[in-house]
Amino acid sequence: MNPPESGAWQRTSPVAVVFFVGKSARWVYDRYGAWGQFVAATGITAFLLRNPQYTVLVVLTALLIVVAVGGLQYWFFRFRIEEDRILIRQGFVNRTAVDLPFDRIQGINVNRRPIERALGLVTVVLDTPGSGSAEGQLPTVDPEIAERLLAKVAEHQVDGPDGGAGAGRDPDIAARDQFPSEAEDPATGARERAARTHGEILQELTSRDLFRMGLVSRGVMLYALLLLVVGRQVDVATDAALGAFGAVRGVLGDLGALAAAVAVAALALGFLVLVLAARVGSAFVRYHGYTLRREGRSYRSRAGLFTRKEAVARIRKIQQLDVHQGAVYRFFGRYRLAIPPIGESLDEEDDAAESTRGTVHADSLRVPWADSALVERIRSGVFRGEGEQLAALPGDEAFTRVSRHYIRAAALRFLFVGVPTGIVLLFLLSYMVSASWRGEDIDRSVLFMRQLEGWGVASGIWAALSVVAAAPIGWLSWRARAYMHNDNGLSCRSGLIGYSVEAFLFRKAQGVTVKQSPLQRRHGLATLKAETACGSVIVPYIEYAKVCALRDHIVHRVETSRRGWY
Amino acid sequence: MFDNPQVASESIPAAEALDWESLHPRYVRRLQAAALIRVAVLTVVAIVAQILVLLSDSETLATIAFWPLCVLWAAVGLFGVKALVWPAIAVPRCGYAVREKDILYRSGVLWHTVRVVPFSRVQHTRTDSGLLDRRFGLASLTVFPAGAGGQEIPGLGADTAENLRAYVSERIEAERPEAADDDS
Repeated sequence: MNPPESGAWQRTSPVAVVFFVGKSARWVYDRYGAWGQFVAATGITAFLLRNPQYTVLVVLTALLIVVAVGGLQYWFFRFRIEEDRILIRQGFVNRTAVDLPFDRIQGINVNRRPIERALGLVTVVLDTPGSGSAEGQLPTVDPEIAERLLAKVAEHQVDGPDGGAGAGRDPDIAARDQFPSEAEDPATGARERAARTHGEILQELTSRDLFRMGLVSRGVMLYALLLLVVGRQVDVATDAALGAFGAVRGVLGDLGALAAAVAVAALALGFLVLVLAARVGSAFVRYHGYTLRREGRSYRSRAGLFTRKEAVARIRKIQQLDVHQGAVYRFFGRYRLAIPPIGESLDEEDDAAESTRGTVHADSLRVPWADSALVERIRSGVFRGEGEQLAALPGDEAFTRVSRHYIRAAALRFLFVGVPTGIVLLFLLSYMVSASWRGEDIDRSVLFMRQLEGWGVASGIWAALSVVAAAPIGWLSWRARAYMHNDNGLSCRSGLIGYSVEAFLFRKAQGVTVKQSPLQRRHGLATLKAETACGSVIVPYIEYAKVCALRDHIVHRVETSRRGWY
Repeated sequence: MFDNPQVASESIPAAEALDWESLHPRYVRRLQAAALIRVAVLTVVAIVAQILVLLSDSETLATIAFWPLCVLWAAVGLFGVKALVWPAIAVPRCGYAVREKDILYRSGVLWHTVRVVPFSRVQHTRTDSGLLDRRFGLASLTVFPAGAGGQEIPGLGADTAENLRAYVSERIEAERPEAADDDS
């Protein structure tokens, strides 16, 4: 690629098609959230189980669509570097044009995928406030462009409005300046750079940590579905397995029922081992060589087996702190800590409804396996001077519970959301079971009626169970809901069996909403929702007067604070 | 450098004691018109379905389609009533208030909502005026804080919307925060 003149529209390297293919796949993934993925996966699985002959067709079509969309995106992606700004045009359905003045760019990250490493190209991620940084991505460009952008941004920021913070930026710039040498020697560059970057190492994950992390992560169901489809397609293997099963049965002879039970248990165990192995493997791929370090006024994490991913969070730009502890994490005494970048919703992992916004996420800084000392350390680093007493650990004494009326609300919500969702999922499940029925040849319509019958019974049982479980679930989620605040910030705990804590400083709020349902009005309660640039913190069911006072206090702090929010 | 004097809680301005500005009276009509158009589409669908069933001789089709058609007609009736009644109930309960440093919007008949967006956090503003809006001489103003969703204030008179937009833009400029400093 020729070094382009300033001001000319240019495409990235054709290798970027790979990036755009990945991006369109990721878009589908982001768009349809956790439940959407589950339902879609179940539906497609069911279809394939009934019509195995279409498997190749479906897979090929999906691949073709993703590749075609990726290619189109590549074709329509152009960028242009001008004196004081960079313009990026992209999209073929919704054409967007992004105009980024250099003085608005907060930082530049340079990533390399293995394929880029091989070709001597890089991906440049421009970090801007106010939106997810995905808009400002230049995939697979010449390192020379990255260098030029770095120089231009640095130049524009010297006399920029926050030039005063230049001293705090030094370590970052120093780290970036080493980049060209890395480009010359891609193979050893990353390692050398890691060795040269100074900064206090906060955490490094060992293989043992990764192994344990893999054991406790989620997504087991999706793997199960995948295995089901594969297993079903490979009929030879299935028959072999069945043959082995029969042989074992024959050997065990008249033990009969016991043998069947043992075989089923063995199968289930084997399956579990497979799933766990897959989870551990993916933990290794994602977090191999995880290092978290503090460099000057930012946190930087680096991890990944194939693609080294780097995430940087400048402390003054951190909007909120998010600490999760699932039930199994509690067993190990560990926490998952996330610092989302501006523009990303915090609730993406826990709330399917929230994750359907279809934004492409910038990477948040994740600490996937933190112990309480590390959480405390990061918390005091992030909220230094202002939110010293804000609680970040779920077990903190300072938390106050919300009103008991929340139990009823949570139970009702569980019933109204859980029962219909369960019934839909059960329908898909029954469809899958009937589709994979391998017994004697019976009429399709009879099979369908049987499926409906089974579905009805299962739904009835599910509804009855939900009614019984609603009250305990309401109580559990009330027990988890708690909040604490001081003059500068607020921290809110939520969860069911596991806990998560979200904490933010009042001056980082973007808006405050007070909500009152009819039930809350009767009891003089209300819900407070404080929005930050990367999500929201919701405190439900506290006294109306308290909510109003908090709201007025937050707004007051936002409007009188002389310090900005980023 | 950063000072943070204690503020007595009584002196913090409260958001309750506000004169809420109501939305433009014509906004009720505009919502009714929009809803009636949707009902009209639904009615056409229902009529077509009814005619198709009546024209066909099939006995089974008539039996199968009976209940779905009943539901469809009931939906037409319900939506028709709602289209006429609901805006008249909901619109008077919405309102906005502009203060020196922030803008508030309240809404909700059963679930009351009040949202405050400080001017110092607004990134940009937008006024929209759709086909129906223009027909009724209305416009809506949306203010966008960073990250969080935009707050729309619908049903403003076209002049009011423009004035409000100008005022908000001016206030945004005036309240723009200085970049935060790491040193404290």
